[in-house]
Amino acid sequence: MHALHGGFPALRRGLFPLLLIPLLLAVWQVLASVVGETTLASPYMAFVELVDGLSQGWLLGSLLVTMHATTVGFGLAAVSGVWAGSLLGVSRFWREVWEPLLLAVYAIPKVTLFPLFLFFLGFGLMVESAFGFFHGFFPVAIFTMNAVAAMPATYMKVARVTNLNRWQTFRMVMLPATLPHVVNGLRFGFSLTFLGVVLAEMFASPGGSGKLIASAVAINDTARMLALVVPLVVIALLINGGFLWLHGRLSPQRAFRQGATGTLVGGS
Amino acid sequence: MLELVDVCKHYGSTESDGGTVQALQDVSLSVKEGEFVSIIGSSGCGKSTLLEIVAGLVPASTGELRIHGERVDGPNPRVGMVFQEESTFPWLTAQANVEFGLRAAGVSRVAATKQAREMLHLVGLHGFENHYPDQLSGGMRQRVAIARALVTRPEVILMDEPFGALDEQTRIVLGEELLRLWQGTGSTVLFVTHSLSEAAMLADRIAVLSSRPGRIIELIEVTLPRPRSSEIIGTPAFTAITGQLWKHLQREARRSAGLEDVRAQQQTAEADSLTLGAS
Repeated sequence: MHALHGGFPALRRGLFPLLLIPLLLAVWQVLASVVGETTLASPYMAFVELVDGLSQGWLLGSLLVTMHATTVGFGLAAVSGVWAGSLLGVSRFWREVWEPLLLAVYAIPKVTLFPLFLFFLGFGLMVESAFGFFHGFFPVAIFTMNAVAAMPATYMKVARVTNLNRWQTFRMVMLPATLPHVVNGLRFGFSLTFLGVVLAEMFASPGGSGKLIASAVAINDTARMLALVVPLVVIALLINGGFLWLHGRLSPQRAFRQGATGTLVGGS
Repeated sequence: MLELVDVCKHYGSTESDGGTVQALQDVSLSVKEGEFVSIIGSSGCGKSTLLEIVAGLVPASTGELRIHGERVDGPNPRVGMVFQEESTFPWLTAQANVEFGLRAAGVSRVAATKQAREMLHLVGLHGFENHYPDQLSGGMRQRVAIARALVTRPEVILMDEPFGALDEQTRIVLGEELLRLWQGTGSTVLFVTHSLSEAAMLADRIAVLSSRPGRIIELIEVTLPRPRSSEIIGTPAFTAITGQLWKHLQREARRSAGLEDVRAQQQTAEADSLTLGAS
């Protein structure tokens, strides 16, 4: 009974998105036949294009370029975001200095600043990674900062009366206390880095899936556009799902999801 | 065994921000080995600060703290502490919470597992080892926190209103359990509370603190026989002690509630009529 209790909702959560896929395909098909296949390619046409892309090599090649830039940008955003967020989380003074700026830059439509990136960094991997980083850094830093700042002061007192050294305090208290929130920040950070890279590729890039999408749009080749968009969407969803899963694993309330007995009220 | 000598604590730097707030003033207290001392006072009297000084979490402004005659500054493995606020780690099971301090001190996994299990058993949480804090009641979580503090066998255990967030019945029952545990370990306990009956039920001696700045205005010997249980609540000897505590505390309580002027005259009249003459 316990296994069912905990297992079923988890199963349901995993299955629902899968059930949505045929539904979306059906909507897409209906839409394509209503507006005409020259305006919107049907799923079948996109599928043919996708197979062509795989056999000709342009699909995988362009996705690899995009993922390369995303990996570099996200790696930088993750490391520097966690680092900056931790420092700001610890110091109230520096938090008050930097938080308004972080939130402001997080809020602006960064694409408007793309010409500046282009001007300083030129074409290619460099500008794509940098623009991706520029998108991904802020959520990581902001989530980490808030997680560190919101950690109950009592946890640090416990660490001190238990005579933990600095490393133990970090590993045994601060890290597990903040990790679920940091993982959430990384999840947002990844989505935005990905967005930044594809945007950069669409505007000015020698290669990558974003560039191919832009070229396909320019010649109204919706089949090719969708053959590129679908794999990008799948990649984004898979990685997002991975972070969500990790977040669930790290959350304090994980016991509930594992189907243990419910809350117990009252002393025994 | 534990000695506080003329401990003062003030906050804020001297002239820069309009003077200092004096939290504690010349607190001297000598606690014998294995003694259970309660510190009672109205809110904001600095009793938590006093405990944090003993724990080494905040430094005393002047004065010193000695354990076995040795001067102590900063956290010390001989001192364990239980906090009023939620302090169990929600990402660890009850068992892992108790093992926490042992593992940090380098105790082997096997030994830590065994000792933590025994300690959970002692605090009455046998069978809850694999529960996470959010699956336990407030009282149970606090027992996990107590087990975590006790498992490293500190000589001095500091308790800062450990049952303060619980309802009164649970508080009485857990107080009884604490007495049972304390008698088994023989540790020295400093127990901060604002509950008159809790202090009377648990302690060998009660230090009454004045409101800010906190000074010890009275040390009351509790001569109720041991082992004690909650049965003593309401007995004449028990109420004599809570009554005595209240005599000392009522003026302080009025003061910290901002009521001292309201009934100032009445207060003096009452004080005059008291044979004890509360200071």
